[in-house]
Amino acid sequence: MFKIIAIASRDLKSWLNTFSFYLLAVFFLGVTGYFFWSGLSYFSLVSFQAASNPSLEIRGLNLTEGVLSVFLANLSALLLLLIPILTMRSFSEEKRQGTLELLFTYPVSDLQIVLGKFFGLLSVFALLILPTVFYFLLAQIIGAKFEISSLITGYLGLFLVSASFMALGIFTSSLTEHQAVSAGIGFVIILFFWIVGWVADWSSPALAGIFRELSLVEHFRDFARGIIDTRDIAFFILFIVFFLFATLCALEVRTWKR
Amino acid sequence: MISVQKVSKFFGPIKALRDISFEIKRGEVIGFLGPNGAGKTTMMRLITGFFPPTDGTVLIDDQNLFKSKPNLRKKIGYLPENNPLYRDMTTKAFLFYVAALKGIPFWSRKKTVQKVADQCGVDSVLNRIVGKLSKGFQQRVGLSQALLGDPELLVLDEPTNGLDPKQIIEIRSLIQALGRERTILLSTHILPEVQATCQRVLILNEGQVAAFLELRSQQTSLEDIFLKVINKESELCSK
Repeated sequence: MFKIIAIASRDLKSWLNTFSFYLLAVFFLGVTGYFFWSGLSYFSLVSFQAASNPSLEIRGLNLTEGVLSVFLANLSALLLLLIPILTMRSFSEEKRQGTLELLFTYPVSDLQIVLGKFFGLLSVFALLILPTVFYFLLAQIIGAKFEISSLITGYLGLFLVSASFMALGIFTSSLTEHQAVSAGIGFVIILFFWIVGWVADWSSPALAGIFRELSLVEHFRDFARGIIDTRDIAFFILFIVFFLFATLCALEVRTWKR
Repeated sequence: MISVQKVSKFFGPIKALRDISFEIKRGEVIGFLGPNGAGKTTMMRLITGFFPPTDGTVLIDDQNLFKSKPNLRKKIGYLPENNPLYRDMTTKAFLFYVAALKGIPFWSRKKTVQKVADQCGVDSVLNRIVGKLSKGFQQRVGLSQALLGDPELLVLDEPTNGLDPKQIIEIRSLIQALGRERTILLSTHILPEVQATCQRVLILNEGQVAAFLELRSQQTSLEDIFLKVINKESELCSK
């Protein structure tokens, strides 16, 4: 356990020591801040119109549906780009430097290495995502009252989605020593899981079910609307475990007899 | 201490090591010699448990590294070829990190790191970034990382590679000092280094043991022995 923490905190510190982390943070917070501001402004415009014109349809006009879920959907689209950049270093860097050879010969199991890398990245991500919570506090001050429970649910969903992406990104990074290649492959596979649900609308019902279940967006949508479904949680956890296991296998290829 | 039994290692069609057997006793300092591509690094990686052999067994204190608990690895300190280090950390942070991974309890980490830093002479660069150090100091940092946790067996893959003569002499005397209480495997291309530090030499050639002999009992110089052994082997191969 201590070894997992040691690996995770080393990765976190090494991220905090790079300039690119702060560049990434500025970009990320700037863009998400814009998303939030535009979402909130649009919502206030629509609700103002609805208030002045009684004949307008106002179903679904609440802060959770109107601002939070839109904001989270935009945010998760941004993660599509952000997560591969975060994960591309994890194993590729160690492979290129040769330090993976050191790790393998220390009294550390491969599972501990993988978990350490995973939790390290999760904490880097948490540092990036936490400031966005303040947007909602600021909105609170000007009178937009969000439901705390749907806010927590939404962020739980966001966290699960990004953890899934990360597990995938760590896996692609364990395959190659080139960071750019690992980020590229990671992006393509994440994109696949992103858009696979679109096919569901026009394919045969049996296939549609499979495609819909595979799509990460479909599972995230409920969370963004403030609904916790155990099926979604199970899907994300399975997704994470699967790709971490695949990473473990990729590391242990060296011990297979050939 | 180390028992290598009928070990072979293949990488696809390349036969890096073929049917190698030897024993190394506790407290010996062994020199690994051989031309480039003879399988020295592969042999060292097998002994440190980086990967298992294709055939045969490598036993450290009668235990297999891949079948027993990871704690067995605490007995081994390894300085790989080209000395990989986390170049973005300070020396101190790096050594504490390695100490944590080697399972040294946190209350004694400071003392252990300090002791190793004094031993290897990196005390003065503890607060500097590893990547910015000179090559000699980086080599010392690599050696300190191997020494953390007081391993009984040290495996050093070309520790003096790329150093200037003064640094070579320093590292060599350090190895001599360490060799008094430890088993050391030392791979190198520099013959005088072996002569100065090792009791026995193992000469590898084309993936096989070409010679394994006591140094002190030899009348001829190591250079002659090395050339004779290597040439004989290649003659046999060409026939």
